[in-house]
Amino acid sequence: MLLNILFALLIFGYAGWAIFRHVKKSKQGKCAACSLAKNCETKCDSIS
Amino acid sequence: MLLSELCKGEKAKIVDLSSLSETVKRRLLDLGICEGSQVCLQCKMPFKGPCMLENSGQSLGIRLQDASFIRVEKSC
Amino acid sequence: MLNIALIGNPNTGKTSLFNNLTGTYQYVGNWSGVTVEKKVGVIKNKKGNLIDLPGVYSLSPLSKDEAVVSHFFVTEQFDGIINIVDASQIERNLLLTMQLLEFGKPLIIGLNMTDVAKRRGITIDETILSKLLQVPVVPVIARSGKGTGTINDLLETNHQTESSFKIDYGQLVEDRIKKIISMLPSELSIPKRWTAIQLLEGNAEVTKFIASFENANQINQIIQETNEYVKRELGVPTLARWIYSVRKEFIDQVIAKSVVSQQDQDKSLTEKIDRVVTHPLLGIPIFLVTMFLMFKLTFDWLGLPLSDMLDGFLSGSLTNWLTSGLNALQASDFIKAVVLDGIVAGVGGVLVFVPQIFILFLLISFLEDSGYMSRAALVMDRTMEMVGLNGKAFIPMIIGFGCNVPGVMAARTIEQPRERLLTILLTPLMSCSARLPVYALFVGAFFAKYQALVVFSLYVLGIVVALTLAKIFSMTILKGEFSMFVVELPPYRMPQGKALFRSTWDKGKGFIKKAGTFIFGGSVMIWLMSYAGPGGFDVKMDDSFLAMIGGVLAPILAPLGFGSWQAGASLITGFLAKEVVVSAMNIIYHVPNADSLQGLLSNEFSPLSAFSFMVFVLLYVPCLATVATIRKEAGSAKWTYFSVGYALVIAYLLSLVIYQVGRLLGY
Repeated sequence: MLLNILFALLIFGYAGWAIFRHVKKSKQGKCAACSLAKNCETKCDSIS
Repeated sequence: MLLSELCKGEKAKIVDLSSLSETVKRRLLDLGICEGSQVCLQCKMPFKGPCMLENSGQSLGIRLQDASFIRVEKSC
Repeated sequence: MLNIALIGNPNTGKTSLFNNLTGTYQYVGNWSGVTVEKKVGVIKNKKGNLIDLPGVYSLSPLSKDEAVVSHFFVTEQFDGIINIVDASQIERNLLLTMQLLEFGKPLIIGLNMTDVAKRRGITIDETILSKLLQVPVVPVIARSGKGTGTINDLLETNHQTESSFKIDYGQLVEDRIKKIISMLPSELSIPKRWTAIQLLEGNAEVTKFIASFENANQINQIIQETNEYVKRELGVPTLARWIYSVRKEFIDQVIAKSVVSQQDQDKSLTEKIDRVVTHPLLGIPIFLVTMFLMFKLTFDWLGLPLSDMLDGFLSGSLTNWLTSGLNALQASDFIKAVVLDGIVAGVGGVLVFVPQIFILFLLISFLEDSGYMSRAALVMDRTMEMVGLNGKAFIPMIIGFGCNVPGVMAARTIEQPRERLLTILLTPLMSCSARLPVYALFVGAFFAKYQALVVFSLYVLGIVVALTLAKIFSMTILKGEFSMFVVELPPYRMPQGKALFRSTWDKGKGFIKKAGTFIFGGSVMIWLMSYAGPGGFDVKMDDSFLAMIGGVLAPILAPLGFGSWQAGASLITGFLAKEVVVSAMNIIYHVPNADSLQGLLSNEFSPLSAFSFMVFVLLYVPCLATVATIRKEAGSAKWTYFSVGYALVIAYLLSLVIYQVGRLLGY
């Protein structure tokens, strides 16, 4: 039973987090598509 | 004569760019093409489509209409 | 930390050099405008940052990606410049170098493509060139990384030596330059002489920067005076032209001393290929055949057997292992259901199409690297001109086949703002790879014999709709001033295996990553919504929350041929990412693999309504990431809403017409 609860927590926790992060990242638009995003200090907003 | 009147494979020297629109002229100058440059018309697309030019080893495409604003002198 | 800017003409190998100097991977192609936004990476020896800027011919911007560079020069602090110069086109490359030298920051010239130059009979003596320009010149081969070591070493020693390069523009202009310099505020962050020259040249970014200063009006007056003066006294059409010709003369002298060129030019391979692919009559057919072969390879020849194998593994062995594993752990029925009916069905249903997507990306990368893209732009220009666009708009559209987000960004290379906006709005109609699983699923079920043809027809439909709308928009809401088209046609290159696989992996890995994260999450949520209903858990699917939500849409979608709540629900989820449409269907129809789903679908859909559904998925709304990118690139909320709105209307109308007319015709 304990194992089942643990499983459920893991699966739903991860699922919720993944969706939350995807929506957040998508809203940034172009940075999400950039493979350098981690090293990029400018976050692509240099030009309006 | 005009650049657009050249036939495929003909070479010519550009003599006048002044009637060309400002942006197109700027772009051509950027590419190193100005009065005195040698160009060779490589091909023309059908239905008055763009034409392909060669200038000292680089190829570029411009519209036929723009080409008709460029005066050239055929070199023999 | 040092900040080093990497700058040069378009398509000279900046991004390749950037990759080799920083060790990170950036996307490389063989067409002008691959980089449209600056990218920052850490140099391998950790001594500083390298900033990869879009390629420009001059610091005076004409298009948006060029404005990025000018803006960078005017507003940002940096310590040095690496100027990459294409040896085979050294003349025009040096035009930019002149402006960079005038900026006065320490500069290193990386001389690239000396091999191409040699084949053309051009040899450059880099020691003489270095002496004449008073800066170090390093021969590099950007693609293989040869010479990057020398540049790395130079970066450490060179950054103190400011260059004192100066061209004499003639007494008359020099006097005005001095006058402008004296009027600029003393705390100006950018070199004054450079600023004055750029102002006289008419650099729009610099003019904008100066506009806030108190004596901006006086400066503008001087510029105007000088302009008239130059016209009268020197007999040139504009001041900018005068500056240009002085620079050009200087470059000619430099070249005369440092470059040896022989006249024997043999017909290069590029010219031979060009004679075929830009053939007046065959050009467009060749383009279409190339695209068709691409889909044939992706679906019929290579992709299908591979994804069948994967499907067999996922629904066979993997499912069995998971079932026995869960049984051994004594998992409850609820956990078993979420894993098998939710995750395996949802994620697996999308993963099955990974082979197809990778093959498509490989082929697109090949086209990009080879140099065919610009030719496609040339061949398509006449068609594009008729609808109020230009040939260059075609490149973002092809990029959009991979993913709409970079496609929308690639529109920056288009010079006219109106054409650029139009391209941004229409690129989402290009069928991106995320829509591929949906097609693959449906063509497998309904059009088994004509898979490639049907998918090809959808891609063509996307293009045709985009062109038609371009015509309509440019006649109504986006009425056009004139349009311009000058495109550089780079020489063909045989794409390198390594680079090719790298860029394929780079584009494709996002898909796999998404399957592991977002599609996983989405599948679990969709499953939960289908498992729970107002009546509690484990209800019949038709009484679930998902059915209620989808049911709202069903009557609206009925005239299109797919009025079931299942179709409605899966379409809603598709807004977040289009692949999820397939995940949702797998979960809703409760099937373990694609084969049985296809069997089930044939009860729900007819071939005609399946086609109508695919058309709807092709057009209905850009995904969330694309919408956000449009918002940023178009810089306007109005146009963003418009892009979503018109897509919905067009999708609905077209699907309606296809289904109703098809029914009348008896399909």
